[in-house]
Amino acid sequence: MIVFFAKKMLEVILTLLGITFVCFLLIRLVPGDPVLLLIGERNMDPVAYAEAKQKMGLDKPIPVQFANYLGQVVKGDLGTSVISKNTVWSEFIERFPATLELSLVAMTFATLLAIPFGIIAALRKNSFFDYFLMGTSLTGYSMPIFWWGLVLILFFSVHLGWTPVSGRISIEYDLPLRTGLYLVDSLQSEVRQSEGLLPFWSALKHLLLPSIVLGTVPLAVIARMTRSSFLEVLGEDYIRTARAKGLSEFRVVLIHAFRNALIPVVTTLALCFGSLITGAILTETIFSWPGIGKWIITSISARDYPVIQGGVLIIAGVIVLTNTLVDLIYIYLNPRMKNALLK
Amino acid sequence: MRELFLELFKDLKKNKGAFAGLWVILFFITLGLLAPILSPYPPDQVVDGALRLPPNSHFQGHYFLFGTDDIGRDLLSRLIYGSRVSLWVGLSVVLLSASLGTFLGLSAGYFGGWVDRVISRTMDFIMALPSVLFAIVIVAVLGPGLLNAIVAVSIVALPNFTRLIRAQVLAEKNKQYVQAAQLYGAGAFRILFKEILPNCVAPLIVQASLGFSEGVLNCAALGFLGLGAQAPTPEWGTMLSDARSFLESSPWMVNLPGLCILVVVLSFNLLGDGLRDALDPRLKNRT
Repeated sequence: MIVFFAKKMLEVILTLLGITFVCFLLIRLVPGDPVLLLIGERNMDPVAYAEAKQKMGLDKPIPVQFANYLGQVVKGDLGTSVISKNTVWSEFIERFPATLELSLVAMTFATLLAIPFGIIAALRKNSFFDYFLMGTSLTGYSMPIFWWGLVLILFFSVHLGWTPVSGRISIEYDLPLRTGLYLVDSLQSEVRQSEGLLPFWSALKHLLLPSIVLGTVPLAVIARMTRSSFLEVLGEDYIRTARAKGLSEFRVVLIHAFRNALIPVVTTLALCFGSLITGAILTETIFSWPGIGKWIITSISARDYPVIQGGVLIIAGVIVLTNTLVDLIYIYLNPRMKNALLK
Repeated sequence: MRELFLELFKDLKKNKGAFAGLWVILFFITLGLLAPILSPYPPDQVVDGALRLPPNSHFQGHYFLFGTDDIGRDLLSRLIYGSRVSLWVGLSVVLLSASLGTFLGLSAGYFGGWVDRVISRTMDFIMALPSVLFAIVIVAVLGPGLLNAIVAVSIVALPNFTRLIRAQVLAEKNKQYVQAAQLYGAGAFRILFKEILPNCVAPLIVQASLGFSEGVLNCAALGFLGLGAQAPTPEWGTMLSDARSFLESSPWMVNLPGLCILVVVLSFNLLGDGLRDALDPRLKNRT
């Protein structure tokens, strides 16, 4: 067990080091002078230039520069935005709740629909319903979500006028931010006293289309996984035994099959986290959602390299750590793997 | 080899979805190859005054089946040329990532030891980053453009092929026919490419089909974000992105390229699924 953990931690550290190295190289590989890129000024006078170069340690050999950069990163110093002059970390913290809220709602939506769909498709294998669901889910999986988002806007916002087109909440509400999650913050007692539930509904309405868009691909993936996982489990001997005992179909499916069939589904769910960021970049661009996806894209078009460098590093770090955590929880939940490790 | 393909084709015919996918792909390949003959206008020819005409419009003796865009170019022609771009993108991504991935996978699986460790760790690292984010980083370094987008998307697709081939080699390398070849004194190169690789072809075909759809989709996404093909290239993702501001007034400019992307990606996924079922009967019985 200890050896396993040590190995796992070493792996994580190596991956994080690799990511840091890539981010370090990033700014040196971009065509142009890194000093000017990092300061974001043109036409500096030579004295100030030399000073800045020395201050940033860019006059030292590359390995020393990397060691220095690593030291800064470990201390939590990820650089400063060229445009806003805020630290990259504070910019990240400001935007992260928006992405977190969107992802959580999207994943909840996807999971709640996908698992029942997958189970029904498995139980009614080769029926019209099964073909229909699996066809739809393959379409969802193949969907260019940047177009899907625009189609939804066209229908629900433009034609029907049901949902807003962009942003997180109607501008008339000024929420006191505690968590940064608008669905939570809009339910604080002082907000409820002054505005009632209107801010909450506004936030929910703004979340609706973006979370459908972001949830589409995970929905398709989870539904397909649930279906094949259930089909496999339903063919097992213990299911036949349960049926032979005369248990109701309801009990067989929901008690006996469900728990075992869900293991691969949970793995798939966890694997969706990485692709969720990819989806968030596109979804936030379409809906002007002020999260980290839009942040990165905006800083690329503004050539704000410190933000790109630091932002990618944080996002990658978060994903690597989440994946590791999921791995560990998975081992904890799965007795067979836990026992194998304990031996 | 020929038998494999004939049998594949026979199996595919039974799978309606995959067969339909194959026909749609052939249709788009024909469009792409014959683009100069089939498209009524050159892709960047501007017809003066024919701005954002809806589908099925007549304008001063011109006829626009799919309408025109915001500067008066025929949308049908741009879409036809777009299929050429997309297929070229998909093909390059698959060829690049499959060939390099096969080489790396063969080396990692056959030689093992530090070769395997270096290759496998690198692949783990690429997989740790979300695909589009990684592609964005690469494009941020190389600069936006279709070619750089292809390189970025190919690197992102690399681990799929490398891991697939590596696993296949690990399964094959202790089989008797490989040992026999070793006893004959065949070199590593000969064993890898003449003995082991032919036995990896089946899963490679499946992955190529799925990789094609992923390549097209990712490149279109980069185009949409302004990091892929640049105007005036008639690339579907870029066209869609340029048309965004006309979403309300001229929705066909957004919807037609989007539909094309969906249909092509869906077809390749259908084909890939069908091929997998045909090549791996174990999976077919299961799902």
